[in-house]
Amino acid sequence: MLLARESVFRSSYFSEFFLFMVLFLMIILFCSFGSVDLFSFYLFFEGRLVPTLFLILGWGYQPERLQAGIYLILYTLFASLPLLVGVIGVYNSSGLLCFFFLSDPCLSRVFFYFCMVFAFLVRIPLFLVHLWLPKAHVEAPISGSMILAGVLLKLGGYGLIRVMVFLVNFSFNLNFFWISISLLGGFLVRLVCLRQTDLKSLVAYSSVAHIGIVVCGIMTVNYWGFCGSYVLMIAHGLCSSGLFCLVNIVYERTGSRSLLVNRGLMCLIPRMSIWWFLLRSCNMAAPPSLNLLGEVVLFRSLVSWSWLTILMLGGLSFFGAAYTLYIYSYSQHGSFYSGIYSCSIFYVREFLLVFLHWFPLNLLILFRDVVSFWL
Amino acid sequence: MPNNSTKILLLTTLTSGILISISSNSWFGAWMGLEINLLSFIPMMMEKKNIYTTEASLKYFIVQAGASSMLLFMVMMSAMEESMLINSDNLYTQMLMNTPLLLKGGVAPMHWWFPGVMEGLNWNNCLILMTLQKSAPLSLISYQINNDMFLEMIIVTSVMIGAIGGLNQTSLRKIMTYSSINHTGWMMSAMITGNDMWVTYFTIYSMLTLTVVSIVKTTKLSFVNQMAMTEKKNKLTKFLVFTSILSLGGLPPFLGFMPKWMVIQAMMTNEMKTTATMMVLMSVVTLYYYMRMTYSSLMMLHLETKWLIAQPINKTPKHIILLTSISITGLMMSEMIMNLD
Repeated sequence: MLLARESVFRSSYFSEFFLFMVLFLMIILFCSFGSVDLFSFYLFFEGRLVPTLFLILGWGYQPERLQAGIYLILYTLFASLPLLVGVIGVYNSSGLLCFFFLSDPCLSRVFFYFCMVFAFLVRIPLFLVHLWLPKAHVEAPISGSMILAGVLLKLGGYGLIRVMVFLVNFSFNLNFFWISISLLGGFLVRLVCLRQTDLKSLVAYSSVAHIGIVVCGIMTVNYWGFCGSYVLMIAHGLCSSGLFCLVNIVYERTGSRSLLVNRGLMCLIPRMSIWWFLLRSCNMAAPPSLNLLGEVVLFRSLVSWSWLTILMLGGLSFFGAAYTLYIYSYSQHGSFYSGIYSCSIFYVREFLLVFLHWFPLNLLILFRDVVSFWL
Repeated sequence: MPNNSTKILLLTTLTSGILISISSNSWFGAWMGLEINLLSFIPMMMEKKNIYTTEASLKYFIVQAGASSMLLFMVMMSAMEESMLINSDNLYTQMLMNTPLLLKGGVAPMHWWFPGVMEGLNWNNCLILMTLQKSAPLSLISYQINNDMFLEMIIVTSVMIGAIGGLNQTSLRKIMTYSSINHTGWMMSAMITGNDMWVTYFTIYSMLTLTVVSIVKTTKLSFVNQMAMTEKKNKLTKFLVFTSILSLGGLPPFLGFMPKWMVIQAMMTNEMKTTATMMVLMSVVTLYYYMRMTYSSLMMLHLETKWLIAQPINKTPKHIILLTSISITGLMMSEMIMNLD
């Protein structure tokens, strides 16, 4: 992400502070994924809001970033402050908060279940509460988008996995609600993707779509579901982040994010079109990619939960492939926009950036037993 | 016309009034301390060159004098009931005696005088009104509090009015008023578990308010849109504004999160889950108007107007920097201090 922000250093646009914010965010994320205690996880889960807000509002491009920052803060805090209430409720009823010992169900009220689950569901956006995500992704600077897509959404998924362990007795009865919302929502969001013209907003909505299946997988409380969602979270992080890089590379050259302007790119920068194709094929879960592994495992877990999901999953994967191929062919093939005067060729820095995104995606599937069966 | 020595004298008598009322054995001593406090604050508010202060001090005097006389009357009534002049255990008399104290402290639903009075004061007096003037009435309430429906209603009303009332304000003083009402609601809920938590909350809240008011005082701002008038290259001021205001709002990596966390824990132990959830949701609403104040300091590249209120970096007083650094690192420092034993 530092590579992508070379323009920051060029214009000396508060560059030291930017570095500081990115490093601070990285430290907080490290601590949150490495925390053993539910409360310290909560603290770092909340603590990453302030640097993210700073990154979006400070270095974003449009005036709409103000509204995006407000949406981000208010949506996530509205859900996650009741999580604090829930965490303290867990502490009161079971006396401890360490993850390793919290295995048996210890909460006695549905209210706590909703408090704890809802926070993570807003963060890893569930369909109906996903409105902050397109706004935040579109308005964020490139490294902010990459960090958001790559890591911050996975915090929600990670929290859900941790929390499901001791919410099992409610989740057996109530999880069908979240699964049905995510499946239907994933389908609808993929249809929305088909008619997006803003490239960044398209990648944001495809994020929501992928994460919809991840949420379903976690909510089935299967072993396969957990493993599949873990794999798909890693794959989605790499894939979406790489796609944001590519969109930004195009944006830096043409100055526009619109699909109607950025077309026929194969004529202008042929080296980049191979990366477009590779990352897009990973996005629609084509064979040698980690997305494929995640989706296959998740499909299996969902179908074993109920065969009715076959209907939605079929529609989901079809339209996923549909919008991916449509966007690839629209942006790469055909003639280019006649208003482009000059377009610089691919820098080594950008090449390296995209390569580093794609390489684990297609390599880790060879080590799938290490990656997926860690639980 | 008050000059510095008069103000020092009045500040001394103000604090002595607070101390008298907190540490007295009977309700007469408490009432006397509150009167000394009131009578020494009124001349502090007056300024010859500003007509708004006259109106503010008159409003303040009428409300507080009415509350004091109501308190005296309630004390008499409870003395006739219980035949003693110290704290009683009767729920009704406690509720009766809490009401004028809530009026003095500006707790909702008796807060209507608070924004009007704050609007007419200069920032020093605003700070005293928000912090010191609340300490005496809230202490007296904490001596006779119990966890009933009356208290829950007061807490929920305070938090809601503090959150929703501040949404439509552009004047910085009024925003600080409503944030003060919100925090007073949290303080009332901290009183349930005994004295320590409320005093901690009050101390941290006073420190954070002192930070925010100090920053605003140096540039003599009164309105939210004026907060956008610091220069772009004045990164330090922008950073200070941003951290201190968001710390007051209670966002986690800052110190302002700690008292909220403690209060929520205490409330959960006392089985007040729905009240805790309501308070927490309203504090999200307060964050909206805190963030509105910090817009200009968050967006680093913005157009500057020609008529700036310039505050050069080398003139930022040192105590602001000290307070802000405490508010940034305070969470970790307090955890380390608490885990020393």
